[in-house]
Amino acid sequence: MEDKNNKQTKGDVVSNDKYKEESWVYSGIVKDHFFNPRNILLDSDALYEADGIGVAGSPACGDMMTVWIKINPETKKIKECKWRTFGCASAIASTSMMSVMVTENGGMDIKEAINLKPQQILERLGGLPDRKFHCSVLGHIALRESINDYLKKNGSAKK
Amino acid sequence: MKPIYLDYAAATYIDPAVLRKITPYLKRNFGNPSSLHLPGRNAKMAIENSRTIIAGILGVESQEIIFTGSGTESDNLAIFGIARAHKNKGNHVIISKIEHKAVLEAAKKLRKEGFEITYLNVDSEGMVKLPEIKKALRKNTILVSIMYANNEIGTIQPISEISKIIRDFRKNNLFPVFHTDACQAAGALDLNIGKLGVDLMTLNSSKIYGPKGAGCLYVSKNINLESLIVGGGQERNIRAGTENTALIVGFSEALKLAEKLRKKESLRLKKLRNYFIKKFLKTIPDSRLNGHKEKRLPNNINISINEAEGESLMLMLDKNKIFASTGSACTSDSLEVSHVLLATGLSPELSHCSLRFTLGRKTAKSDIDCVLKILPEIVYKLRKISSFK
Amino acid sequence: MDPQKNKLFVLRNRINEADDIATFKFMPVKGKNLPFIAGQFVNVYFLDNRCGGQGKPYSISSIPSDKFLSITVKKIGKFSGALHDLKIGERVKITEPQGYFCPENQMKNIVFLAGGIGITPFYSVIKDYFSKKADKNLFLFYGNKTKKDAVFLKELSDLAKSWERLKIINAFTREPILPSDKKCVTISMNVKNEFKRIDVKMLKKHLKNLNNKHYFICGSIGFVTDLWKELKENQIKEDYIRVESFY
Repeated sequence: MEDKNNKQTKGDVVSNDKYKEESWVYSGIVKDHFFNPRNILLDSDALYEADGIGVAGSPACGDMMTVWIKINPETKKIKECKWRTFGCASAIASTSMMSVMVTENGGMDIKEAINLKPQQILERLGGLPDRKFHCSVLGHIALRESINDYLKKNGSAKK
Repeated sequence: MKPIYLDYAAATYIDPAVLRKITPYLKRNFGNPSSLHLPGRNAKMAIENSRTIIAGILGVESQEIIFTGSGTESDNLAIFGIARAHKNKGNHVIISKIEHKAVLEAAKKLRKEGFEITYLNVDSEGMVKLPEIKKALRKNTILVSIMYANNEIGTIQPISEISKIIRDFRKNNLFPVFHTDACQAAGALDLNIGKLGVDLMTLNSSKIYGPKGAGCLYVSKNINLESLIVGGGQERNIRAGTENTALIVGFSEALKLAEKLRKKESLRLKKLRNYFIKKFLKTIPDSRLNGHKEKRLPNNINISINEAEGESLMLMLDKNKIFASTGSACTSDSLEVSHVLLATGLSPELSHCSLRFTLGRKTAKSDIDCVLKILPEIVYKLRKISSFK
Repeated sequence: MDPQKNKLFVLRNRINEADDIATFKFMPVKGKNLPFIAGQFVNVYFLDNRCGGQGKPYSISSIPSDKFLSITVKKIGKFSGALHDLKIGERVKITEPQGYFCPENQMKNIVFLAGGIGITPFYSVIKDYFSKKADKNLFLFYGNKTKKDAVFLKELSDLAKSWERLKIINAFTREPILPSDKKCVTISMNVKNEFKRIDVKMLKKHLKNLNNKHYFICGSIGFVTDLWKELKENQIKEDYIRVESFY
């Protein structure tokens, strides 16, 4: 069956899926990251020594993400990216995918991570309907805030 | 995993007895009810028979039942139909803040046409306040619309008392007329028009084990309204369009059956509902029931679970083949959280965390026990992922 | 971003730019204007609960040296509708400017791709650079349905006429013209009109070479995503592209 995921960003119910499972509301990749989210901060956040912390959204909006990052001081690449999200499946999947993208292959350097676009997260997720776009935006804002936090603590802050 | 469907307020299956009644009209009895030949007359007879059945249940005359294609269409017909036909008598309309979108959006459109709309507040349990209705009524009020029972939180409004207030106000006049959307009340509450005292009532088939695509509007014979759909003059010139005989037959059959089972089924569901509510409040910390505790539909459970978002809850239940719905913004096209929950004063946060279970004919106690076993695990998982401290 | 770090602003003036598009000029109730870099955005909150207490982000369309802090808003939904209903003298809360959508000093050749109301941050950046006669080469591709919809069309045209560093290609997708006339029209030395949607083919035509340029894309989700994809398909690297989508 053809993978129509990339064309399905506007619609919801996906019945053709490369995971060949039953239909789901979003893509198979989103489903995977929702039921098996990666990099959640499971321990007490007071004990986690983050180099930068960023928050985006609010409970009143229905989506809120907190991101904790650890930076490798020599390479200036993101070593670890932990998170917690209150929100819908797309929000949880977006933060999970974002955390994977910034830590895979040795980690993204800060400059690249600051420029991580919602479109990039969406592409890796196999697309989301337009009305869920803000979930990926929040992921990118939370990441940016955590990097700004790190930069502030270490001298130069970019907004 | 056996699927457990608990979204009966959204849609029901078609009862086998109803399906048996419908089938001939999908097969050999296909005539156009407007045709004068035998196949046409047979179809017409079936429709008039359905009309009589529904009128009988409501305790009104046959001619006072207009068939439509949905509850939404009936609501639109009531709101637009009355307002536009009688705008010379007044331009003030009163509705509650928790009406179905079909009524709210119609009122919004009327506003653009120059009508003034008063939105009645509800209390923290979703009840309209009787003194507020009294205060809102004016000389130029032509229509009041308040739903019988709310689809989201299940709260049942005191329709007879409200109609008394309106009748006392209008004395011997016709206006303001009183419309109620009773789509969720059918099969659970008494629909007798005499007792309720309403002038118009919306009903539909899809929540009472009938087919989708059939609805009706009861319109008191003293009232005329402007039609929305014009054409061939069907439904006494109020609602044009070739009637869907099969769906109409299914609708009346479903309502007949629902009335027959009403008392017994309501009792059974109430027991299950109360059991569910009691158990979940005990097993899930930091959660609450939305809507009125007692004056609520026998099958409705609407809960907010702090720190667990509605869509996520719903999708995790869905994975376990448990089907419910949510008032969270994420699932609505408008990206706005449930207007009903907000109107009761519930915070946006808790509104995003809401879950609605509505029980039905096939719901057994074992289903509820199954849900109550899985739900805490899901809540625990989501709370661990959640961003709150 | 902390909604607590905000300031009270009062609406001092309003300019109707096009159908459904207006510029709102604010001044702080107390103290100085919020400092910002051209290209940044602010979050605007109403003082009451009229939109459920939520704020929305809007690009700043004024420049740092302006007296007012301006935002240019298209009336699309509930929030923007409520902004359009604001009366002169009414107050709002505005948060610290933020955003990474500002060209950096080392960027010499910059291409702005604007879809409709996505012009707002670029309008600020272009005016800012113009006021400083910045040593930059700027290309603006400005997509709209018709000339009537194109906010700041004349102002930008005038800027291009008096500054050779700014080249503008307007792209109209629904301007009523004869089918055979869909060719590019030169309005002035630095301003051309195209009558199709912006795509990489059009960029290549006017830029000659896509490389060694920094791209900024701003507009609706669809507009931004499509152009981002096309640039990447043409080997433009992620760090040469910045995006901001309105949603």
